[in-house]
Amino acid sequence: MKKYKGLVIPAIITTVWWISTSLNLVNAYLLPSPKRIFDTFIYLLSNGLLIKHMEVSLLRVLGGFFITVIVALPLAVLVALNRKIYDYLEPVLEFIRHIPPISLIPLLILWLGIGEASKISIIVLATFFPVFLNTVSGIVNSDEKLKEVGIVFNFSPRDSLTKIIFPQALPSILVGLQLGLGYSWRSLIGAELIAASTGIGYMIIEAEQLSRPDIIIVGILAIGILGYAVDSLFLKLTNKFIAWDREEGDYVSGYDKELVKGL
Amino acid sequence: MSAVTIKNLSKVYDIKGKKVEALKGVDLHIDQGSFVTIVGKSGCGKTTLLRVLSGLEEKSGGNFAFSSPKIGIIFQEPRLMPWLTVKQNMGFSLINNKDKEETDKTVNKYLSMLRLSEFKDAYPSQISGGMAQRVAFGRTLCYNPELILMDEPLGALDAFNRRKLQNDLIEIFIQNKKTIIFVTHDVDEAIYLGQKIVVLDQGRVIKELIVDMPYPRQTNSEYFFELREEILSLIIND
Repeated sequence: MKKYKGLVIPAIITTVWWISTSLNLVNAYLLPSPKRIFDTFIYLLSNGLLIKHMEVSLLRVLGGFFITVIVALPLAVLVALNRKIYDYLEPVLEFIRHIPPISLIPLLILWLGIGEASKISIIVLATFFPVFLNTVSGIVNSDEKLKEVGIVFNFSPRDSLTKIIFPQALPSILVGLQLGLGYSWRSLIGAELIAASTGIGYMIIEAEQLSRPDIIIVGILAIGILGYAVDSLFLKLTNKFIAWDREEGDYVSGYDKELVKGL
Repeated sequence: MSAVTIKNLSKVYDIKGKKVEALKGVDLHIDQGSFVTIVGKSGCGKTTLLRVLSGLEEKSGGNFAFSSPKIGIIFQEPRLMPWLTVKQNMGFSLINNKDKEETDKTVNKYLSMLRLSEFKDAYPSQISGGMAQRVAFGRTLCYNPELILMDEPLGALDAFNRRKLQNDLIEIFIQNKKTIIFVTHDVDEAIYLGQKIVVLDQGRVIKELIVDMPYPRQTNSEYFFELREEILSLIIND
């Protein structure tokens, strides 16, 4: 039921859109009808152009995101466990955090050209902070009371880290990764709009130059849907690790009420 | 034989440059296999005493020794790992045990003893407070320490669950022959459970009382009332 509720607003928007374009209430040149969008979508799909651009963008996101994960995660763990290192890093990180990655694009293009390297660098810059900061806070804020349980059971520092601190930080780390994924899309499309020869961002900016609002809208829809799909897939893959944190449930209520009363 | 010997134990906290003496020379002998309750009002040093004994706090002076180095502690809150099921929580201390079959046997034994088998796959967020505290008992029993320290473990429970778990504890004590040190601010609870009651006040032991009453104890007996009055007058009159 919840699934269908989410479709109500898109359905209303499409209907209003449809009616206003078929009654010629808006300029069809600026806002093509949903049917026109659909036809363009089928056309771009059949000639393979849309898939090609989506594939390029998706690979960039995954590549950049992968680099972020292998850099930001270990660094965050190191910093969280050695707070003294953080004193050295904090001003630098705070400085970089306030610079929008998009503003670095001109410099990155000068240094790295308009190829893959500049795009991937933008993604790494955009995703680094959510992943890094959420991992640090997940570890730093882990419950002292649970760590004491490890001390009482004579856990080694390594056991305490892998059996208590990490599992507890996992939801926060995954939230960071999820945020990072979202940020990587935004920044990538920005980069592709400014300088690229492939990718959905490029497809959109090219369509602007050709005065093809239908292709622009297909591009925008493709970004949204692809981002949504990647996010859902991410949640699905990670959900089982942190079901305890995301699931609200009353185990007892599913059981024999009389039995529970006797406990 | 004594399970715990404490000599002139002291603990001073430094709170914003101000010295606060939580323990002022505690002397205590606790016999192997005995159930000792420590009673006193809030701030008398009960929790500090347990935290120092369990190694969670450094002592400031004096000495203590155990007959066996393996000590378990049960906190006021269950402190279960929320990402583990009831069964996994119970076996938490045995996580590095190579013999999985043996671990499984131990855990299952205490699951059934504590009437938790039905809920072994539930997560801590899905069970009641009383059940969660029973899981914490089971976790400590699986660890199999000689001495179990308990820091007001039933303090957060309602009266019905509290009585149930008190009876469970007596059962555990009788069956497992552990030495138990149980801290509480509830005088009735101290009398209901302890073979010996240690009255703590302002960081000092002010009285040790032997409770000469078989389990399960009658809370409405003359003897019970007299003990309660005696303890209350000790704590209130100072």
